Amino acid sequence: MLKKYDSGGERIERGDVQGIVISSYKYHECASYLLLQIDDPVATKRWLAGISARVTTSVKPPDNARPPRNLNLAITYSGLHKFAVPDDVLLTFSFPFVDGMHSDRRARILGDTGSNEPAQWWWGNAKRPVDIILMLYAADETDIDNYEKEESTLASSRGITVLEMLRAGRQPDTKEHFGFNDGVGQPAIDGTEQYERQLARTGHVTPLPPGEFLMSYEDAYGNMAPSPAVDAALDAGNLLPRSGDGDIKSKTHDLGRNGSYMVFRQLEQDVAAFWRFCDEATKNGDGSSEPIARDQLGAKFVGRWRSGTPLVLAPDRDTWTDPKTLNPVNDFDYSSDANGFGCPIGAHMRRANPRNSLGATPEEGLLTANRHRIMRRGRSYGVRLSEGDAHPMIDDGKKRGLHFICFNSDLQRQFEFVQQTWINNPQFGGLHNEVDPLIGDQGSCSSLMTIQADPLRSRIKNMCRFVTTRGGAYAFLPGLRALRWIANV
Amino acid sequence: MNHTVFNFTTAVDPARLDELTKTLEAIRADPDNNALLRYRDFNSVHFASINLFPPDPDTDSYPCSGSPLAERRRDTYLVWENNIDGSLKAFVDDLLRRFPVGVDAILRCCRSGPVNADPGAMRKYLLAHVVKPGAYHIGTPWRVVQRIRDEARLRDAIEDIADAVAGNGLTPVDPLAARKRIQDGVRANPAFAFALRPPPNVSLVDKLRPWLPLIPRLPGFLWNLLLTILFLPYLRWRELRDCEWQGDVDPRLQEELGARENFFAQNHMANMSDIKAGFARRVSARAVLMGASIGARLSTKGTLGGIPSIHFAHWAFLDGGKRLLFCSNFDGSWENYLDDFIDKASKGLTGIWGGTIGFPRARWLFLDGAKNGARFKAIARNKQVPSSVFYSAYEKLTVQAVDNNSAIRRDLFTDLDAAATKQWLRRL
Repeated sequence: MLKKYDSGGERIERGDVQGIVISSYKYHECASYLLLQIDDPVATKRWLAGISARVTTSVKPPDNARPPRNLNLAITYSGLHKFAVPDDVLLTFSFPFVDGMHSDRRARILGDTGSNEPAQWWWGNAKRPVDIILMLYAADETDIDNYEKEESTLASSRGITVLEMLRAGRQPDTKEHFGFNDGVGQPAIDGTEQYERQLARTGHVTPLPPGEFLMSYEDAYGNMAPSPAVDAALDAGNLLPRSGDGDIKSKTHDLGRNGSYMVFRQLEQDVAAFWRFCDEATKNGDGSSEPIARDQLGAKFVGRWRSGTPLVLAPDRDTWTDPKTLNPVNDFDYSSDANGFGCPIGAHMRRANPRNSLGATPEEGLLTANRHRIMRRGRSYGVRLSEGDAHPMIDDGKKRGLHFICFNSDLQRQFEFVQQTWINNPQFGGLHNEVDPLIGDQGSCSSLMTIQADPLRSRIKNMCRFVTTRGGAYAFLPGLRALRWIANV
Repeated sequence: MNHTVFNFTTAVDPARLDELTKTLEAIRADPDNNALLRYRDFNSVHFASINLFPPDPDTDSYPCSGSPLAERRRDTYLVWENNIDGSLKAFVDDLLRRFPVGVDAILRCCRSGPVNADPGAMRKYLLAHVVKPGAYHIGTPWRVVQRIRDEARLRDAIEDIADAVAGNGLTPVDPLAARKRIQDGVRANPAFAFALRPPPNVSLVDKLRPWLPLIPRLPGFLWNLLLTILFLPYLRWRELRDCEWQGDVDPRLQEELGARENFFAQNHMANMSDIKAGFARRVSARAVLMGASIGARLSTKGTLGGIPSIHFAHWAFLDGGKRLLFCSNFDGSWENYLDDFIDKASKGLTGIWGGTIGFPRARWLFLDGAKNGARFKAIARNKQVPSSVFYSAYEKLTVQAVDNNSAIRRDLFTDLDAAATKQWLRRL
């Protein structure tokens, strides 16, 4: 069990924090992400000032009454620039945010090469840049339709072009498109309801200090998470708190406090190709399919059975027997499976969060792994390929995938680290020239994956991409006060 | 065989800086085919880099500009780092024999550099500007380039044979039979004749040789250590007043650094810091670095302070101890490397860099300092320059891979019992 961080003295200013950092709004099964371009910054600023009153905050409603709709908003570097935020303020943002997800440098770090390269994206590249991401959540399709219409009509009348309306699919359960229970492992901001929620749901919780996800709070190193700042003269109305946790000697005002960096990536999934690959790789000598081995190979790629049962706890077959429900258990580590005989060392789940498996000792491994956690808030899009078939292998020509969204206070140390040092690292955990089997940068069907076994590993060769990046952006999810400051620049 | 870790450091003639930049750009643009300097032609170079450190900026933009700076660096410095098999002089002769034109193109741009491409003058100049490290670390000791490459080829071939044995993993495998098939496959391939012999022994001379240069430095070390202990209260008093740089890394520098990173399994870091002014600071820096030097020589198992990802790294004092140079050839991302520093080796790092200007404030020389991750990364990045040329002899191999390949080869034909056979197969 991890130590609980002492965040007693550090109360989160929930009225200033946008709600999506604390909650995934699961109670709203429908969502839409509006990608906006600013044409007329002056008119758009008026729109921004108006919308800030409708932004959902993290304040707990009385009697747990859930709002009928939720709205959150993040702004990219180009958006801040169009709003005429001065350059010397922009330069206090973290470098990846300034650089943009579509730059060559970021592409190498994130694995966006070949068919993933930003030049081929549908949005978020130089051809179709995004300035503002508006996130809408509602209870059902009728209301999200209306909500989309209302917000896009309003925006269009305020000097904004609506570039895309990316609809997330209804979320009847927590499966992603390949058919695996997803979103089980998630850190909790200590001192919030996330702690109890995660513990009750998964039997396990990793509490992290607020500064891992919110700027200007204490982070995992015990320091104040870096935060962009403005010269006091630029905030004559004192909309923003002073930098340095309100330090009265501070000459700058804190633009980042209660804000977070948002990562948005549209990841298209080729479900039929995934299961066809698993089928081919496990065929019998006579060419006939072997469904049990096929299912097991899919699980080896992911690190969990489709139900969500971790391979570490059930290496040979899924022990979750009720097909109607999913297994949320997350209380495990890799001490008992150091060789990867149960969960392969290169499995997606193990790469995405190696828990205690790297490092000289398990304790050191866990400590360092927890420097690199992200708060996931994504939702899948498109209809499922086949609800009845566990291993659908015939494509229907429809687009589907994941709108991957996550929040962190340090893009380099958290999201980019996970992508570069874990997901796409050919030598991850002592492996030899392979990348994440699900979302890694597979190149042109030349990648492989080692499935450790006693006494001899096997290697699955000629792995192709099953997941393609179609768009992406880094954005700043401001606190409410910062949002008003931006609207008044 | 022993490795030699060193760099040539000299000041660049300002009038020829552009010319030098273009020369280095030509090498970088086509490392394997340019006419000037092709490291791939040497069989003795593990890692090499050529770096240009621009002059210190004006006071206002210098980190902690209020701090007294020992001496502002007015010149661009050329730091040409080499990590090689064998001796320095043999390498210099080899370099001049193979690439006299390229060496001339570089040296003629240096202050009082040799003109007319005279080989004798160039040799003399190079040797006169050799900087030996104050401390260094080698993650893959004793192994020459050829052996590391051979063992990597062998490993790939063994993996292929193992694929044929394992198939799609659905049929049971007998470990002894699997190993036998691998052995037979290797024996059948004349390209792997070297693998039939055990790896060369590390002689006692090889093991002792790295310690020899330390002997004459020992009295000085003890003296510096004594002074450091005496100065400790004063140093602590100074620490409380030290300036800790709070700035952000210049985005242009970030762009340039980022543009040259993440092409190989390894990345390069060339970083130069200024030692804080004052006799006590200089003495303590020397004492700590010598301590690090002894520690690193004892680290022959591939890790340094628990960090398993450094191939070759070295620190060197420049300008009579006013500046501290750091060159490192490390596996994986810069973020990962620095995070390892912070979590696993912050005391050592703080000891070494805590006395440099702008570093996060240290306590009693070794405490705090680098533990302030964000500030440590900012100053480390800000003092780094993009390497104009960076060469790796084995671009896909991490230290752990080199070691694992060596272990696979070492035990390939030895007598192993059933349990050891299983252990050996797990290396694949």
